[in-house]
Amino acid sequence: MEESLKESLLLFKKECVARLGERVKRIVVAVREKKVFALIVAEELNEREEYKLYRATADFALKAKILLFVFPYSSFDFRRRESLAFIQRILKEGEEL
Amino acid sequence: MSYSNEAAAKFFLQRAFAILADIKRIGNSSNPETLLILSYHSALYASKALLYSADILADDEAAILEKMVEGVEKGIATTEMFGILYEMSQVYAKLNFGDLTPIKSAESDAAVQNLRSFVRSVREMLEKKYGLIEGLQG
Repeated sequence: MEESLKESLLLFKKECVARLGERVKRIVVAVREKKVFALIVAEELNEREEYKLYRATADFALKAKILLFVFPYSSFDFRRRESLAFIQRILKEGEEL
Repeated sequence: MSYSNEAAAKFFLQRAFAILADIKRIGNSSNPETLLILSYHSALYASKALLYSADILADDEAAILEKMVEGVEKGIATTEMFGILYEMSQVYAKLNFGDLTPIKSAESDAAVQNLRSFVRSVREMLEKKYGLIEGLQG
């Protein structure tokens, strides 16, 4: 991953931590062509917070000019979905922020 | 003779409205996934129309999203329009990648609601530029 891209994504991580605090357990990002995919795992993430993350991602895409797609999950949900192919791909190809 | 960007823009907007009319027709009888997929594709066509009207050409989903960022910077699209499109793209991505989370009615209802205001905004912008555009039902 390019340094400048990583720097921008770290800013996005900061934004997530500012919103959710220590409940953020992991953020894994994978780059595929023009898109960046980010798995966000946080403890007890509710629907409203999930929606706000989508909005924050739209703002980030505009400011940073990076097509970032987030997949937010509660820790419990993530454990159930971890074996899904697309999540495995992101975990395999991706980088922990 | 090739099509002008104006003709293409009008065509894409007509397609966006045709999908919106189908969404209205199937309404609540359809499942949330279908409504979301249709809404997102309609929004992509409307975005394409807007971009073509400004001579910005984009075809696939990633290019459209990327160029819409440029569109906001150039004042062709509003931040709100981009927000609507991008939120839909996030939910669509989850669905498209094979996540097992069901799309909720509230999510697809919001997508349809947002789509209506999105295509209307594009229509207003294009009709301001080109005059009345025919075939925009819905």
